[in-house]
Amino acid sequence: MESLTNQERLTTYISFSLIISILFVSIFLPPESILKWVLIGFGLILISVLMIYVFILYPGKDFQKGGSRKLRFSRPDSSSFQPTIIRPSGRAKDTIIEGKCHFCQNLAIMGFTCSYCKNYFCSEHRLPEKHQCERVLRV
Amino acid sequence: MFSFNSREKKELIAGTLIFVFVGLTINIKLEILIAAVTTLNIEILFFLFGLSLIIFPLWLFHELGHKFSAQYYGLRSQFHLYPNFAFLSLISVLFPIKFIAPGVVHVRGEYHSDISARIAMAGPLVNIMLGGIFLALSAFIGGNWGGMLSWVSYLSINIALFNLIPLSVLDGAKIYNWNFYAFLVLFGSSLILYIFHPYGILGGF
Repeated sequence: MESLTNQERLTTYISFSLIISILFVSIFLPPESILKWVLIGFGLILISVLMIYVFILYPGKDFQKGGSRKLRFSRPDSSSFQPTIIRPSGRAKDTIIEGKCHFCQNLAIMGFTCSYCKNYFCSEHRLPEKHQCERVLRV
Repeated sequence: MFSFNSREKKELIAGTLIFVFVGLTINIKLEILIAAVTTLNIEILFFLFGLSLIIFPLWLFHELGHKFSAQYYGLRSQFHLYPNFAFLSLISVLFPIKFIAPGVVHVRGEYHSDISARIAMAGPLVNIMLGGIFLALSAFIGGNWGGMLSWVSYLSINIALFNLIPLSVLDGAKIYNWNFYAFLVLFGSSLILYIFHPYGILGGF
């Protein structure tokens, strides 16, 4: 829920309660009742309209105004940004093509050896930030 | 704000025709379809034409939902028809399990993963909305056409549910990776109807 705005969170709660209402209507009203299918239909329409407005159309308003450029192109300000450059300490001598990923312990075929800590990783955890590389973290 | 190019229009029309053809064979046997066309049975042809008009928005509006939402966020988007996928879709009419994915919408530009998830949400949400509209309409209309509309709403929910499977390139994976609760709302609403729909696995309960 952390990545959602307050409006999106509220919409999610309303949608959950609508889903539970639909579930109750589905269970307790008889299938021959027209009201059952009308209520379910309108419930689904309400959920989708709410979600489309709050999750898709509302965030897009910023884009229309041009203010959202920050969201799309959120690169650090060049004047204040001072990156720490960590140089790799040389290539691994032996190329390993099969082994266990040092991070997730799964079998990794054609995996990668980290240039910094020299451990072997699967494609998912090959980047230093993905396997919480000790050498990079130390810096 | 919303734009198409001429090639894309043709590909969208071709994709829609493929979807309508494969979609019709889900409920109507291929032999009956061929017989209706070869014998020129006006009554059945009229029925098929009417049904085609009802089901074509299910796929077309899904793809347009992705395309227009991407363009709404100021990104470039274009529908691409993949000939091999289109061929696979056409071939699937011969098998009990249908594959309907003649193409996909490509989005170009620089954007965050949450924007990607929001664009992915647009398609299934359109299908859930259409499912709700057709289900409510089927209750009001009743009779044969009511039954047909009810089946169309079930088809719409099936498309939404299939796209919401959180695997590889499907829309569900993008939404699931972004926010689990948003994914749960979409998946839950389509799953409930998949179970309790008159054509669903519990047969209306």
